[in-house]
Amino acid sequence: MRIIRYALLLVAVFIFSSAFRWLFPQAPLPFDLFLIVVVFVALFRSPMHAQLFGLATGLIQDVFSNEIIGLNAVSLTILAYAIASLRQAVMIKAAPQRALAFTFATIADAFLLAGIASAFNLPVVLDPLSLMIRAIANTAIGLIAVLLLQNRIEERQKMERYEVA
Amino acid sequence: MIGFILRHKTGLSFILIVAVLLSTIAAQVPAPRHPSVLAWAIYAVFSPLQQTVSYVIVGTRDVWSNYVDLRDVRKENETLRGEIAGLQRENQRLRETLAIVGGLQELDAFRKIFEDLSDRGSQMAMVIGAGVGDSSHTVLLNRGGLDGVTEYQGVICPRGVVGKVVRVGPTSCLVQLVTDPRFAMAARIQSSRVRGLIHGVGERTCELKFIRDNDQVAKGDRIVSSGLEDIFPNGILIGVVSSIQPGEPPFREVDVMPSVAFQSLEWVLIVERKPKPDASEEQIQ
Repeated sequence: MRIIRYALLLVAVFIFSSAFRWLFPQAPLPFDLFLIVVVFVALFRSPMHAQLFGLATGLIQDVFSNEIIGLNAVSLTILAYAIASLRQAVMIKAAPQRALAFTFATIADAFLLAGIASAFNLPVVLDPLSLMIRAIANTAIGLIAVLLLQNRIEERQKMERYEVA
Repeated sequence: MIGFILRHKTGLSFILIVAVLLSTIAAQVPAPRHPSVLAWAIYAVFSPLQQTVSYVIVGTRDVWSNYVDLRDVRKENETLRGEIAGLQRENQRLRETLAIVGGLQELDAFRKIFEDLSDRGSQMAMVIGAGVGDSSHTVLLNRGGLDGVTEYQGVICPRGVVGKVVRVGPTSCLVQLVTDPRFAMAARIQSSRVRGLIHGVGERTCELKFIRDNDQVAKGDRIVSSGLEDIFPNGILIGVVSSIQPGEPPFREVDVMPSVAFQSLEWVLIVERKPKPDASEEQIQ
């Protein structure tokens, strides 16, 4: 059931991104919906689930954006694993902490992509201004999503734990 | 051993995934990319979705233009409402049909001329969607590996060069447009026959590289494919020179405005690659 929910989330993000590009081919999307959903899943799920979701999301992004296959997948897998593992070690529950996770993830994603690209002699694109705008937009959207859905997700997680017990 | 693996399954699977992905990247970097099974499978699942999205968008546009926009007119004139709306819908449908048929006839006529002149086959394809990356300029076509499409086939339309196929799925393929920063092809200035390299620069333009200070080039010059590579035949229009600026000596910066309006692109031709000379002929030569 959980896998179906993840798949539906991924499909929704893909459809939104593709429709946006279809309607506005020249306008750059100021936020990265793929990254936001990966961080969102990492904030609520185990490192194993998060990294698998990051892998699937990154692969979809790579295949449909003419990137080298694996580039976004590596970055999103590492980020998802790092955030989910950090969440298990440190309490990340308050809104500012979660907001920080989205900001950190956006910046780390850009540097990871640039690092991997330069390691493989691929062209590196790192524009500080657009990165800043993207970090702010990702943080705002991610935080709104967290505030809207966290109670529901936490209740469901409690129910799952109760059922297991 | 098994206990260790089970205890650290998350960390080990993370390392394994990252290692496999890095190997995948490394395998793609120096050599030309080959169609991967993974890309093929993802295309098979997601391209029907993308086609559905484009149908929904087109359908929504039709509903908007044929129904929602006409509601005010209906309020103003109750008696003529049905008739006007009906006529407008019919008119709109006929115009749309006419535009599609006109576009297809133009493309078909172009295809015949192109195939006669270039001695290459081609197949018509419809644009069904766009890629998802911000930095890449790509469109998705409704022809794929099952239709015989392969990577690095050229894509053109009556107005000129569109781009080249970079990924192929079973029923669709991804085309890198000439404005994509990773796009490059051999080109020449039509009037002076000077050769250069067309390179996408993002936004809506591209650049003609390696034009020397003493080469003959002027604003408005037509840039065409040089035919030096086997993807595009000689003489297909790419665009016109929009500005010339001094660059790093001994070269000049020549900006080129593509001749194709990518936003209104609906039908294109996928061009067969030039057949390689027969091995026995090569040996004789």
